[in-house]
Amino acid sequence: MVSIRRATVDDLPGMQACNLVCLPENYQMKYYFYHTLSWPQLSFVAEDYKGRIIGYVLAKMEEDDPCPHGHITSLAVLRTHRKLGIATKLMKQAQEQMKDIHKAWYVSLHVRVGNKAAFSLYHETLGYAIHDTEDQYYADKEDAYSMRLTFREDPKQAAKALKKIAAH
Amino acid sequence: ASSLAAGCGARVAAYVRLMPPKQLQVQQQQQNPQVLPAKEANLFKTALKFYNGKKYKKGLRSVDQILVKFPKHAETLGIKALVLNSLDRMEEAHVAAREGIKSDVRSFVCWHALGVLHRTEHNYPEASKCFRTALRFDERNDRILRDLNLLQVMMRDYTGYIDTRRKFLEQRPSLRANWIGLITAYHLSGNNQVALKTILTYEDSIQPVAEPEFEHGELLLYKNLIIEQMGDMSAAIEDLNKCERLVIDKTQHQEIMGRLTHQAGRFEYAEKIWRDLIFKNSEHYAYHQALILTRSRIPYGQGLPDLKLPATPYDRKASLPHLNDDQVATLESVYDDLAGAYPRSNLVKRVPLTFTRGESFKRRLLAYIVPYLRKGIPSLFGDLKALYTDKDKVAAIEEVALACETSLRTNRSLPLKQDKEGEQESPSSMLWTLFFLAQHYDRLEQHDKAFKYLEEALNHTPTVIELHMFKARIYKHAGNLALAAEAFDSARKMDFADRYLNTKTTLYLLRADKPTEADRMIGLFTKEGENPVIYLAEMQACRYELEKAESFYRTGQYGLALKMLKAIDKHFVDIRDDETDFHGYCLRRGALRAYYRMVEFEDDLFSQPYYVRMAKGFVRTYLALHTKPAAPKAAEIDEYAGMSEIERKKAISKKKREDARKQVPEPKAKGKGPKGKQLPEAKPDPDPFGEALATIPDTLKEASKYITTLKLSVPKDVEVHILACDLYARRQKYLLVLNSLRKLAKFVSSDPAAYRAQMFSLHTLHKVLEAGGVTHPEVRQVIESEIRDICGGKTLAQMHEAHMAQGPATPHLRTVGAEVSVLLDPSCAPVQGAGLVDMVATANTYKDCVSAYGLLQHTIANPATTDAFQKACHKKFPQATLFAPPQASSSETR
Repeated sequence: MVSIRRATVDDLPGMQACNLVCLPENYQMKYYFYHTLSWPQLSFVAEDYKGRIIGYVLAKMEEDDPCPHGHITSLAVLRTHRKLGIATKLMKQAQEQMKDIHKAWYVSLHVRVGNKAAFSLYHETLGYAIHDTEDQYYADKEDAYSMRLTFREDPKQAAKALKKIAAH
Repeated sequence: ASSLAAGCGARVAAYVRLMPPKQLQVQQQQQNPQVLPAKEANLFKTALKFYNGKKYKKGLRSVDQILVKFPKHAETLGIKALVLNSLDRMEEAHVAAREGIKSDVRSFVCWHALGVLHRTEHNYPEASKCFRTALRFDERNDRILRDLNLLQVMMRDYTGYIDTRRKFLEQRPSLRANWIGLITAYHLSGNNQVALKTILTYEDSIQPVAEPEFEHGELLLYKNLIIEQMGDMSAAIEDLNKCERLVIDKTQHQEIMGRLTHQAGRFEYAEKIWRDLIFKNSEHYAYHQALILTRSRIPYGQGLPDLKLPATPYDRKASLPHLNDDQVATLESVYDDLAGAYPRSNLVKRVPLTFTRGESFKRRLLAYIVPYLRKGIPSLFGDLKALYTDKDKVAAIEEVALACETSLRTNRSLPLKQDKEGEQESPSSMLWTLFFLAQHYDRLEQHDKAFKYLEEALNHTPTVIELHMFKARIYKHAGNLALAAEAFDSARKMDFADRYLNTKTTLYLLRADKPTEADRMIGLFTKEGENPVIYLAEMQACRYELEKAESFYRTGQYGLALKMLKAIDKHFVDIRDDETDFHGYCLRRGALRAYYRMVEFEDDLFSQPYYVRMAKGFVRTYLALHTKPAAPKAAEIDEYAGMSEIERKKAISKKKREDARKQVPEPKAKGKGPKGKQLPEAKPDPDPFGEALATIPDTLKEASKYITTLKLSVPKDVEVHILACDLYARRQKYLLVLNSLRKLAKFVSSDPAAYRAQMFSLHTLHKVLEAGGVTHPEVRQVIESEIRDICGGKTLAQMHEAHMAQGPATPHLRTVGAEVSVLLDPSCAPVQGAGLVDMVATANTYKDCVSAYGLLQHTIANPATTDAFQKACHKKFPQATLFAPPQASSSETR
């Protein structure tokens, strides 16, 4: 039985452990703290019946941008819990919060160009589009797609934002 | 995270403006040696700039240039101390700071620098003293106030912290963060009343907030937390109603409202809120538990007397109270409706399996598992595992799964009623049914059956990685860790790109005590050209380090075990230090509930499972070293024979340095994280084998430090008190042994390990008293009366007899019973040994027999009995390496 809920400070060690098991991009505890203490509503965890973290999404806002937008720092689900749609559900919750709490315009993320499963999740299931390709983004020199999912296109707001960008 | 890294950069900027004006300098210079002439004053500024820009070596050159001419210039010495501190040359830094203070005892720069040095060394009380002295000479120095306030909150010196935060607020009341600082200071100190009053004062001082806005919304929910903690539930509800419009985080708001109205007994209202929340996130288990409780009109916290915030009766750990048939029937219809409304929700289908019973359970179970079997979702078993605490449900699961198997075998269909007649299942349904049954029988410790189903599944489709992963698991449960690691490795070889498979193979290798292979394995996924051990330490990979430490402990390599444990200890020091950056940050950010949780988390840091496991590891390792002290290497003694003591030391340290260089290959390329962050370069390790750690003079004293921490952080952990008994007895601290026995008392009747510790400790105390080991008459009296109290007037033998007669004897209790019997009366060893051989018949798992085997080998030591025991075990647990006939296991034994 898997439960999906907002991540709290108490979940951070479990998220770090889950990340270390699943992904080659790892972070120190402090970075997890930084996310939760800045945007406590955006990160989510999936836990099993014993309360072990079996998946998480670590998310943040890019606030300095004239169009405030969300960013997915990291997403992982243990191999033992695949095919349940957990990653999709985690992502959807995080995206909702970005819109609700921080009025995000869009959400961005990076994915390895070679990671077909993740790409299909983002593109087919969740509707992200490729925005750009970043050369040698990862430590092992693999390229990344920078992908985006747009939440809203408010013409008034867009004009304002464009003005701001022009002023920069 | 870059915004946090700024920390020390700006530290010195504040000094520059404190330099006396130029004219004054010239005047003062003649009389005052503490004022520099223009040239050196400029040099001083340059030094500051270098320090500020983290160019420490250049900074050091500049200050040294000044000091050649003015060796007693206090402020220069102060800056020198700071620079050396940043260069990690602590001894010289201390010399500089102290010299500076000697030449000008009123130099706030030097006092501040000395404080910074103490802070670096984690000597917070001294650091705090220095900062306060520095402030005496420069009362309003912002930099020092800032450092002091951080230190105070780090030390949880809330009286001092409140005082400093008040100074900040007085200096700049227009700054919101200064208000928040004082509010949180009061709240953290437990003074909710004044914290609340300060919030109200702040709200009065600002323009009323008209529109919902993040920071203000967070403050409102934080205020509500304080009101709730003050215990007035209706005031908290009223406050929630009042602030609803301005709160942005509606989910949080609703969760609190749902909980509080449930507490207030407003079931209908609360139920509606929880339903709304399920609409937002139907996969949140706590929402469902809350719905079940409110719908069934069960009062908040019923049957949960120990409920303490932040725990709620909605947590998965708080089991549901018993529901009567009416309640179950109502809930069934509630969930049938929900299933219609949320067809994609997993929990809406899964939750009814927790509260239904009998036929209804079976019907729902079948409907639940069939789609999993069809889609081939490998986690089906894991999803149902929580139900295995209920015997009836286990039987029902087996019945349903076997029915699926039979139906698939006979007519290639699953026995679901609404299915169309004659429709054929795809062959993969069979595969996943076999897989499920294999896991089911493994859970019931019927490994033969588990293997049989798994083999059939593997023959059916040999390419499913999950099957190979599971094969490793059965081997592990059946007691063959080497084969388990091999099996997992073959799963890994089916998908080299998957880090999960790589990490798990590593962990299996560590369980099989193959640390070198484990390092090589995990190195496949860490940064290229970098030592994986160093990279993983950098990333605080506690799990890997713990498993490795425990493996070293098992194989008697205590030095290496200690080294790994030290690495973990360091992570916790770092996590504690990370706080430094967040106090100031959170006051500005405004996510105050999360901030409050962070402080609580840090307060409870030593109750984190990884910490507890590490600290116990330390204690066990130190105890083992006390039993069998580490000897210096024989080769070394010969090698250095004939040298003088000093020569010898030098030679040894030289050799160690060389060994270290061999151990840690220089990284070819500097590691870079995804954000281009530089990882520190590897330094040669002065103690690569942990020999220095293992040969400290008083291992028991070191162990005591950890036990003291554990007793405070996890007082309910029975293992801690068991270890404490052993440790204190060895340290001859008998009153502390008694104290631990008191803590153990309530576990003794249900936990054989606690019982064993109690009997061994009492036995030791008896022996000590008999031998006249306690001379102080009063202490002796206390010990005697406490023992009488625990034993209730019985002898140890009588106690033991009564205890063993009490309840059903599990293999664990029988083993402990035999051990205690032999302790009390060594002559009964043959009888007890024979008893253990008989025990094998009732043992369910090979683990049940492991400690009995150790007992037979080392204490009872009758070769014939040991042999008989081993043969019986081998027959029962054919896969277990431990019981394999000698010729087969010769490669395994060391």
